[in-house]
Amino acid sequence: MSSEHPFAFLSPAAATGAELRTPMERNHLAAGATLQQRDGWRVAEYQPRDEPPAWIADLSHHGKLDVRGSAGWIDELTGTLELGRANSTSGVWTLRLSPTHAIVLCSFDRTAELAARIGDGVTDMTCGWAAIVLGGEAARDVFMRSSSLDVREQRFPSGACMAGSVMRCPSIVLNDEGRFWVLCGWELGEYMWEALQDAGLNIGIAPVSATVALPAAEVAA
Amino acid sequence: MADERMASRTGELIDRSDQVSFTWEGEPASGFKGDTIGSALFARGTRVFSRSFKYHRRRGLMCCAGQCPNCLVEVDGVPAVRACVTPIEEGMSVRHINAWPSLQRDFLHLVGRLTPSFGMQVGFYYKTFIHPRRAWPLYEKLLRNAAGLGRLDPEHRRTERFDKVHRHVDVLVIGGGEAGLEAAAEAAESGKQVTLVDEGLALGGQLAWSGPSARARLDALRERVSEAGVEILQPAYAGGVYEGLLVPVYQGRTMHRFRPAELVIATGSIEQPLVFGNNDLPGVMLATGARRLVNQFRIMPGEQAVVVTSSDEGIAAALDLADGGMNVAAVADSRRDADGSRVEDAGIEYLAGYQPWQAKGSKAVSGVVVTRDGKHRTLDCDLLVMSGGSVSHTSFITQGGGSIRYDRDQRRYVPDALPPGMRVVGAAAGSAAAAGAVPASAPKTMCKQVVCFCEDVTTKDIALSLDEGFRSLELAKRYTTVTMGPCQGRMCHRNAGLVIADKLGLDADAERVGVTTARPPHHPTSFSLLAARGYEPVKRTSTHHWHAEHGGKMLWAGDWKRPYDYGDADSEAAAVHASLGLIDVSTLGKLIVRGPDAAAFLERIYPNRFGDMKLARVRYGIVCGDDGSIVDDGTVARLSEHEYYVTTTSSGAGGMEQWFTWWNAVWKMDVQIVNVTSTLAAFNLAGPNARTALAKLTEFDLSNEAFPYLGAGHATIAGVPCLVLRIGFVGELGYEIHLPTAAGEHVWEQLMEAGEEFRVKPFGLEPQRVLRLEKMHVIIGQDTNAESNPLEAAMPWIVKLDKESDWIGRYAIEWYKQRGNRLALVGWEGGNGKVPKEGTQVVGAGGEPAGRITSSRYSHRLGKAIGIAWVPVAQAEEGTAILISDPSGATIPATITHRPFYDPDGERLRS
Repeated sequence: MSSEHPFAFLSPAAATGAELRTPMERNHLAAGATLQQRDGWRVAEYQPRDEPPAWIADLSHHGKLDVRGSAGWIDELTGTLELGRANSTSGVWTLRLSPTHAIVLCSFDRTAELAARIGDGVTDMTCGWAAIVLGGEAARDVFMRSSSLDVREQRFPSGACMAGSVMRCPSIVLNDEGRFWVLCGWELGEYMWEALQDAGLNIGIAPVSATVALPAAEVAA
Repeated sequence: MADERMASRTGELIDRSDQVSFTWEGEPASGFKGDTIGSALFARGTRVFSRSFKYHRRRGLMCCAGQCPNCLVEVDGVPAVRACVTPIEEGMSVRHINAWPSLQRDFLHLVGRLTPSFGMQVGFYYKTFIHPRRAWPLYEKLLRNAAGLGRLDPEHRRTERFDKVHRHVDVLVIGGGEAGLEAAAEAAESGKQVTLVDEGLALGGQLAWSGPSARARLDALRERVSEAGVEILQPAYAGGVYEGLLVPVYQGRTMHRFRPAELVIATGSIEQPLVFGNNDLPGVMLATGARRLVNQFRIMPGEQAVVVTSSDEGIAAALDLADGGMNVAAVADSRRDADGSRVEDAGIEYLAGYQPWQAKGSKAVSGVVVTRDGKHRTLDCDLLVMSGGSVSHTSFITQGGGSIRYDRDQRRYVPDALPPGMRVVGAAAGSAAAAGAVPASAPKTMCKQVVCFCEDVTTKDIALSLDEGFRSLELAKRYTTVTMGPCQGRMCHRNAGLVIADKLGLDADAERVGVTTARPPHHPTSFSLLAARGYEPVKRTSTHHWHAEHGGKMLWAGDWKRPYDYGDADSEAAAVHASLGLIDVSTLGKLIVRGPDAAAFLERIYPNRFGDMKLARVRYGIVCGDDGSIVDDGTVARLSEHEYYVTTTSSGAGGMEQWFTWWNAVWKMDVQIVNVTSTLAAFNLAGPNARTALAKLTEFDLSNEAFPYLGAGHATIAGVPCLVLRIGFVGELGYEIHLPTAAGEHVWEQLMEAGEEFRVKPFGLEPQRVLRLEKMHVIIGQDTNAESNPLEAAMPWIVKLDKESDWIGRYAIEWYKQRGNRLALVGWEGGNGKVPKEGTQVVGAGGEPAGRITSSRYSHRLGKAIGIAWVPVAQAEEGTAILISDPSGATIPATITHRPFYDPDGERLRS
């Protein structure tokens, strides 16, 4: 048995010999996107365009860490975040889902470093959750066609997060300044991508590059 | 016929400058923007819109408010559309729904004519069509063709897009009348987010057609709601109120699923028809219906009107019609003490104490006979306006969990207890002013006196049901279908109660008659709207598209899509035996169990031991329920002192995660359970050449000495860190490779390439099932059921009753052990080459049931049919001959065996 962490094989970061693919790769190609290498991933690049009323971006290559531990330890880790709240520092999102459960979202190249810093109780879920971001002025309208979760501004403001059903799939939702992150099982990613686009069809939803979904500072971070 | 309208007036809904063309019965028709189908056709002379449900009587506009069934038509292939509230659209095609061959000449009308002699009163088909029994399919076809509210075209395909939106609001107001507008404005002004839903074409309810002062009030309210920011959905209707105040609202092609914090019911009241002979003739119209036509669509509904009424609404209608220039011959008011002076001041004859006996006319109304104290008077008219007062609209209250009670003063049912979050305002909450008098019982006549317009139920039908013993409204509903139609009793519930009360000699106020349940949908609603966009989550593995692109026949396997085979299941199975095969097993459930108590936790979860496992080893395990039944199986690999990697069945991942989490909470152990099913792809490379092929992609020592059977190791394969388990479900040397899903397609392609020299074949579910059967490996849920325990399921070796710790299912299994086995899960091999179907029975010599086949396949490798079966213990001895029943009636001889059919000693697995 290797002396390294027994579950290191969960992390794609060490998969240096492979081109990593998101679940929606064929959807991107069918929609005319090109695939570009980024940190070992094949990331979809769409032609720049005027911002549509609603857009959808594939951020599945983003790093995702699942953190579990005692409430005190999670308190310490998250800076005593309230339940259902998230904060962002230097492009790293920390979501508090329950007293003993938090999630960290970061750029892929920081996953290993952050996982090591957190230590025990962390599971690299980068390949566990597909990440889709809904944005644009009508993002909330698209979401309302996809889930019964209440995402009105007064109930689910920026920096709020929750677990619930989106398109009948168990999901984690984050309001990132009006952009909605939807994390769902990797195996459901392609379905979710298609279903969200279908929900936004009448609204004029369009797929965009991942860079549109993240502020430049976060991409660089 | 030309479109005939009255002079333009403030408040009319039509835009005379914008003409809209459509077709009616295939012929060109037109109206103005703002017209409904009903108003546009009525303005051009159409008086018959439909035929009644059962007797195919002519029906014309009656309520003009979408409550009655008289104007249901087919629009662009969609049946049961309410013409009186559906706006016309350019190019729409409107047709009648239930007449043959045409609406004007409907042969099925003879049903009604034959009624007295043919005995087609209520329940006739129960009594008439039971002989001869074999003729029922023919009767059924005839009856179904004769009745109904249109037909669905089986060839029709959805051509339009329907949508579904989830809405959360602080306040949802149903009803845009005066009370609804007031409530909405008030809530919005207090800072709440408010949506108001109204099914009419104009806000305001009765304010919209009740004169200048009402108009001014309406304008003020409209301005108020607008300034307060109330969202208005119109025309839109609430389909019902469900648990938790879930309210589906249908607007055009969109279903809004509202979950309001507060639901305000402002549905007002519903005007009731009167019961008299021929009260369903075209030209007989409710007072509010006639007023809508006059005031909103500027249509004079007739040339000479007579009003029969038991309430002030009839008087108001008479004055309105007269004001519009119509000749109103008389108002017959069944009340003897009402004030008719306003009517007389308008020059209209007022007949106090007169009630309608029967309308005259065959195809349309030509007059009415009214009666008082046995004296009849005949009045000529081509419009007979009736008003039986109104009832509160309480359907949504009861659907939402509230209750209603009869209020003797108001003579109507009013809200009683309301569920949390529901409020009722306006006439829906009760209104003595609008109640009017409860009409006297209907005088006897030979003509049909329709009580339920939806279902064609008459007073005679209800009387018959009472005579036959159905002596309550609820029972009469079931026997006659009164209140069961599209209006769910809104137009007939009160009158049905009155008729029953009269016949049974009960309180005339219907207090003791009770109410029936008004169920959703509130109005006819298309399946397309209910279905809207489909949600059918599909789980795809990381190599899903590779399979599909390489001939994989993808099928549903639980929530997943998996390849059944790649075109030739037999050769795929043969490749695994002879050389090399690769199967995608990413669907397996995968759990991390870690923490200081991980070993102790697994000891309690499983009947077998895991605390004594050495590192880097894998062990098979089953999970039992409290009752000792097998609920799942899989493998457990120990990766460190306190870290285990657990696999479950494909369908069991979620359930096992919950099961583990539940027990961890109960036992309060220091264990973390993380479901990593989504995170990892898993492939099984199997066959005699598996080691050689895999060695091309890794430096990991795969030799039997370094990595023996049931070993677990970390290996970098094709540049990807993997966990490799040396296990074999398919009976050959095999490696189950677990790796990050994002690298799944890459590793799969590399494995296929590495296996090319060995003619590797991808294999699907079907060859896998044959291969596992050859090894007699069971599939939990197929070979076992909810009553299967490990002792009977040929797995006594897995049960460690001597474990120190308690474990789930222990007491039940100890009991099973004391009791002794009754059944046994055994293998069987066929004697005549025939392959019985799975699920068929094992039978005794006399044909009696003696077990069942759970798995059955033909093994080309072995040249015979093989399988697994449950049989009684007495028949479970090795070599016992059994008979398997074939659906054709023949029997298939077979022999019981306990050892695997292929490689019984596992030499190939361990090679």
